[in-house]
Amino acid sequence: MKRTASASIVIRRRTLGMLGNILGVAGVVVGVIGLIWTGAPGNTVIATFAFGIGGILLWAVATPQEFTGFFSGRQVRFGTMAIVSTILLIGIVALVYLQLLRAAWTFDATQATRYTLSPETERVLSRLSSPMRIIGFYSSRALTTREIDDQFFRLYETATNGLISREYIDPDEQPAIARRYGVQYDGQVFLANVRDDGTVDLATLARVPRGDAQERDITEAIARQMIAGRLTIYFDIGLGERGPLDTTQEGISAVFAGVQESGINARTLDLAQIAAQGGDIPPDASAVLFVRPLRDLTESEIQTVARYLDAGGALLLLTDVLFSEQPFLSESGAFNQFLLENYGIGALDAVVVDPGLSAQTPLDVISAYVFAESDIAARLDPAVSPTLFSVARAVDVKLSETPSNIATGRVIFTTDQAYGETNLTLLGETNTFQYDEGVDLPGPLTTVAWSTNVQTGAKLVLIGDGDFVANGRIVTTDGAVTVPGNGILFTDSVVWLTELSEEIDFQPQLYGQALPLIFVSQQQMDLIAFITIIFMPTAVLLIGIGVWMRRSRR
Amino acid sequence: MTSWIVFRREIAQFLTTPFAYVIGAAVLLLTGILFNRDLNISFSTKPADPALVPSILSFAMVFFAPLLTMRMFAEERREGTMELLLTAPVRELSIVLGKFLGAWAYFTLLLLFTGIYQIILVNITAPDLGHALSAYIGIWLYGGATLTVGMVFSALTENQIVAAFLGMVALMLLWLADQAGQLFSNIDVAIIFRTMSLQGHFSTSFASGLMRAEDVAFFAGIIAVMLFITAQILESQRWHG
Repeated sequence: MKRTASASIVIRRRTLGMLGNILGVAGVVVGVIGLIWTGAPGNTVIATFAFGIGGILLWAVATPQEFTGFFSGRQVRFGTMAIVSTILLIGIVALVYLQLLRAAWTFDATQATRYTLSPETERVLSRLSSPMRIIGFYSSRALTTREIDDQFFRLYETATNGLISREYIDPDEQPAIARRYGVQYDGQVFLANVRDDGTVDLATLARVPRGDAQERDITEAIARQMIAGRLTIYFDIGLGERGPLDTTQEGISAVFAGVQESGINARTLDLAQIAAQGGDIPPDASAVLFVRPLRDLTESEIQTVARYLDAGGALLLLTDVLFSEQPFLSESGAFNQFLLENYGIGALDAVVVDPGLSAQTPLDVISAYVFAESDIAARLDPAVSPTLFSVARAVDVKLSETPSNIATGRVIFTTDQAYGETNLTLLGETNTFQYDEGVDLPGPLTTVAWSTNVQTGAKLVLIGDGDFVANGRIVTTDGAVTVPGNGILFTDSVVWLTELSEEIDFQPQLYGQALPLIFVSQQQMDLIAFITIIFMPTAVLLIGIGVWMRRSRR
Repeated sequence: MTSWIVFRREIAQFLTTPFAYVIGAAVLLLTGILFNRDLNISFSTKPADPALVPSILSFAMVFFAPLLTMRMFAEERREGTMELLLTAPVRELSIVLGKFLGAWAYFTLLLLFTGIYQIILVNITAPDLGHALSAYIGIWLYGGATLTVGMVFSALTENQIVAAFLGMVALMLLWLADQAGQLFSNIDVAIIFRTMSLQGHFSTSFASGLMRAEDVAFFAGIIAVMLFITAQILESQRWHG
């Protein structure tokens, strides 16, 4: 039949409604299948759902009576329509669920606000300007851990408007990537900067420790990442010091690695070589560490150090009593005199003997008192995290008549019963010690002291033990911390010297400490057991029996 | 309105049936024993766990929910009132909704009884009541979802025992899906199974003091879908006679 040109195509509302019905159901069904297939609400899945919803809306608008009739049940027939309508409902439920999952609306009901970022964390995050990524390695066996962690990670993502992103990798499915990251256990988490092309900058990779205080661990890792590369500390190796790369019990590789993991650049320098060439300590040195040098400084080396300090440098000096010629910081030596005259602190040629508080022998000195007002000692509670020095050296501090612009202070102190054994020859040869009135130094004695020039900003920390951060004294062979106080003293000394504390302004929340423990008498326990195990179930059961008897009588 | 009438009839049936009291007593006995056991373990060592009882109930409901719902439609058939209901000018969804609200109200009453444990904790220590409230809201929604799963099987079969057994199997599978990661090495498959599990939306959120909108949507969605399926089953029975 030939159609005329004037004939028009008529689209009926019923046709539109039918079209909407088919498209809507098909869209939702395909969306559900797509979701199950991909396992994640990707853009395609969301688009398919939106397409389906659009079709349903078209159906509702075009044929409202048919639409309402469908839900009121009059037109539903068991069979295909029943199945389709059920799938439709599941699709709508899945869509709502996925949208809410993406929106991440949560309500933290805990009193300690355990699932809310603290103001300290928010302050740290507000300073974040470049993208970072939290990368978690979880296999299917660690799925619950992943979900618990994700609750925290997505708080960071939301708080930074996506500047911090999340990525999860299954180490079983991608073992090569896991090896590249150095994954050691299932559930390990890393933090790294993100390049412009969206890839992870592996050079900035940092491990996030897994502890009870999850928020503190993540935020500290972020804060460290933010200051990464801005601070550099140098370990001197020119005076026979402990080796930063020496992994034996005597080496200090553990603290060297710890410094690097903290986001601080850790390098080595040779003061003797620099001084011999008439050079200077690198200007980027936030601090220079001398860990148990074996000899004292020469005049040219002292001048090099003096120039560095005049420019606002910082020194951490770890010294032992050495039974050798020209030992480091010999009491009458030129470097010790330089320190005393210019900075009000110096070392004494005396070994601390503390019968009042010591470990195996009175030469194993435990911190008795700390000056908590000092930033270095703020975390060194003797009752919780004491320090342990084996064969400690007494330190001299000028608390009055200090040089101009110099402020000094003590950090760790012995008991009153302590004394400074000055007969080093006898001690070194026979390992005997005894207090000699008028010869030995009376206690209490200082073992750690600090000094700062308020005008130039120069800072010094002098610690009377050269080995307290040796590998064997920090961690055991299986990685456990042996003397926590020693690690804290080293860390907080470096933090104070480098002014890292001003970069990381973070006080962690103390989770789990706000709630009190349960203390009840046995009598109370018995009463509780009676009420909950006997009285309540019996009462309910008796009511049931009463109901049954009443019904039986009818 | 029809739902309200069915609800009142259902709740009255619960309160006048000895069986409901036996289940109530069993729940209280079980939670009471475990509460006292935890109290002894926690004594002077750790703070009280405010989510303990809801966590116990999350497992207990795998068995108790089918016991509560098994008689819902099967008994109607046995007493011959099912035909009356189906031929009455009421929608199947109203009947299903009314019956569900009745069972849920009974479960709510049971939950209120377990509030005694929180009162005890308040008197001997200072529990995190916000955490407790979150756990109770969670188990309330969780319980609602388990009841609807039980209702589907009650509508499917005429035998109460079979209905209870199938309900328990289904709920046990939904409960175990949380451990899918231990079975499937593929993490995407494990995630899909865990997403569909009941525990996956309770243990790491509500029971930990965190209320998440998606978990509320999950339980509400389960309730809606299962009620709809139950209504569809009744509808098909009406048409088939």
